[in-house]
Amino acid sequence: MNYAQHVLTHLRKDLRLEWRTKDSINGMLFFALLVVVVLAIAFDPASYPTMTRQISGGLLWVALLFAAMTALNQSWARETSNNVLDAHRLSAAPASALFLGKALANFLFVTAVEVVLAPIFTVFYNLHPLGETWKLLIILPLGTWALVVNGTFFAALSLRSRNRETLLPLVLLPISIPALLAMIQATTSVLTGEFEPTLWIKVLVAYVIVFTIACVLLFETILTAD
Amino acid sequence: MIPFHTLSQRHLVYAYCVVWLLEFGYGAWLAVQWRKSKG
Amino acid sequence: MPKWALAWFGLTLVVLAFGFFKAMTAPTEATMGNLYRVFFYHLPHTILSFVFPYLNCGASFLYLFWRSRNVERAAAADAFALASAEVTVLYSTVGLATGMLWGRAAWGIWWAWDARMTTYLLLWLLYVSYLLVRRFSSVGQTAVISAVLAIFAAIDVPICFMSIRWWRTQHPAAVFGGGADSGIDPSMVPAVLWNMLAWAMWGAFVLGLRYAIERRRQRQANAYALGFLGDEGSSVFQETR
Repeated sequence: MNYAQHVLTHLRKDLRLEWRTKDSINGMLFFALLVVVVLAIAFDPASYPTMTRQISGGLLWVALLFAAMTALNQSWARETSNNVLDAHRLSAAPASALFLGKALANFLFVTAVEVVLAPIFTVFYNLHPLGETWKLLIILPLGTWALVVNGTFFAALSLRSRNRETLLPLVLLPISIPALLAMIQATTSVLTGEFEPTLWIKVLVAYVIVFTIACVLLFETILTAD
Repeated sequence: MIPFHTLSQRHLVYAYCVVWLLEFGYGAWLAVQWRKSKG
Repeated sequence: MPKWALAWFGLTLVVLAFGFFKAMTAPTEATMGNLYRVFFYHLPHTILSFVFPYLNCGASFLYLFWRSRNVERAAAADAFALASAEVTVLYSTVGLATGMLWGRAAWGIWWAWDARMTTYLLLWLLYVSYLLVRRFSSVGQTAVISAVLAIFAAIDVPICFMSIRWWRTQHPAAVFGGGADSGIDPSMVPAVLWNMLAWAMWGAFVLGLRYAIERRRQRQANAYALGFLGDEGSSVFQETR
C-alpha cells in the first residue's frame, strides 16, 4: 500500500465509526446552533445590519472553533480503547498517515457542520454579503483546515495528560490566533465588501502550508513519545 | 519623598514595584527550591 | 553554590542598583515627565523576553536530536528548555505589566490590539501553555511533548507578528530603528544600556539557577527510580514543576 492508500484507510475508518454513532456531528451542530442563538440575544441583528455584517465573520468562526474543539477531543478518545493506539505505534504504516486520515475526517465533519450552519446564520442574522460570496468557498475550507490540522495534532498531544479537555483549548488557541485573525478578517471582508480579502487569504495559505508540514513531520515523535 | 500625587507618579512607582516583586519573588522562590533540593 | 556563581550574583546586584540609579537620574522627558522612566525597565524586559523563547526552541531541538543518541545531554537540554520557558514567562509578564501601567498613565488606555501588543500577549500565552503542558502531561512524555510544542510556538510568534502588523498599528513608532521619529535622546542611552545589561545578567543568573535545580531534580528522580531496582536511593525532594 502506498502512502495515499494508508491515509484513505484511516479516513474511511473514522468516517465509518462516525457514521455509526453520529456523536461528533450532532454534538457539534447543536453546540454551534446554541452559540448562534445566544449571541443573537446579546445584540440585535435586525436593527443594526451594518454592525451585524461587521461582526458576523467573527461570530461564525468563534462558534465553529468551540464546536470543533468538542469534537477534536473525542476524535482521539476512540483510539484509546482496546489498545488501538499501541497497535498504531507498532504497525509499519507511517504514523503521519494516521494523523492525516484523522485530520481529514475531522475536516469533513466540521465542514458538514458549516454547510448546515451557514444558511442558519444567514437566516438568523439577515446576512446579505456585500462582497464576492464565491470567495467564501476558498476561505471556509482553508480556515477549517487551519483549525483542524493543529487541533487534531494537539488533541493527540494531550491524549495521555490529566485535564485533557482543558489542555486542548489552552494550547490550541494561542497557536491558532494568526489563522483565526486571517479567517475572520477574510470572512468579514466578504460580508461587508469594504476591503479585499486577498492578503488574508495569502496569510491563511501560508499558515496552512507551514503548520501542515510541521504537524506531519512531528506526529511520529509525539505518537511514540514514551 | 516618593512622588505619589498624580496618576503618572503612582503608575511609575507601581511599575517599578511590580518589576521588583516579580523578579525578586521568582529569585526567592528559586532560592527556596535550591535549598530544598540539597535534600 | 560555586564561587563564580556567587560572584556573578553579587555583580548582577551591583549593576541592577547602578541601573536603577541611572534610570532615576536621567534627564526628565518633555511630554511625559517622570513617568517615562518606566521605559528603562520596560524595554530591557521586552527585548529579553524575545531572546529566551529562542533559547527554549534551540534546547527543544537539541533535546529531540539527542533523545536517542545521548541521553544525558538530552536531559540537560530538556532542563534548559524548562528553565528558559519559565524565564520567558517571567520576563514577558513584567513586560506586559509595565507596558500596561505606562500606557494607562501616558495614553489613557490599558491595552490596544495592535501588532506588537497582541504578539506580545500571544508570546505570553504560548509559554504559559508550554508550562501547563509540562505540568499536566504524563511523566514519561513531558519532555518530548513540550519540545514539540516549543517548536510550534517558535514558528507561531513571527507569523503572528507579521499578520497582525498588517492589521493595525497603534504602538508608538519604533523607538530604535524605526522611521524618522525614532531614536531616543542620547542623554538617556546610558540608562537604557545599563539596565539592559543588568536585566540580562539577572536573567542569565536566574536561568542558570533554575537549570541547576531542574538537573538536581532529574538526578534525584533517576536515583529514586533506580531504587526500585534494589539500589539505595537518596531521599527524594518533591518535583518542583
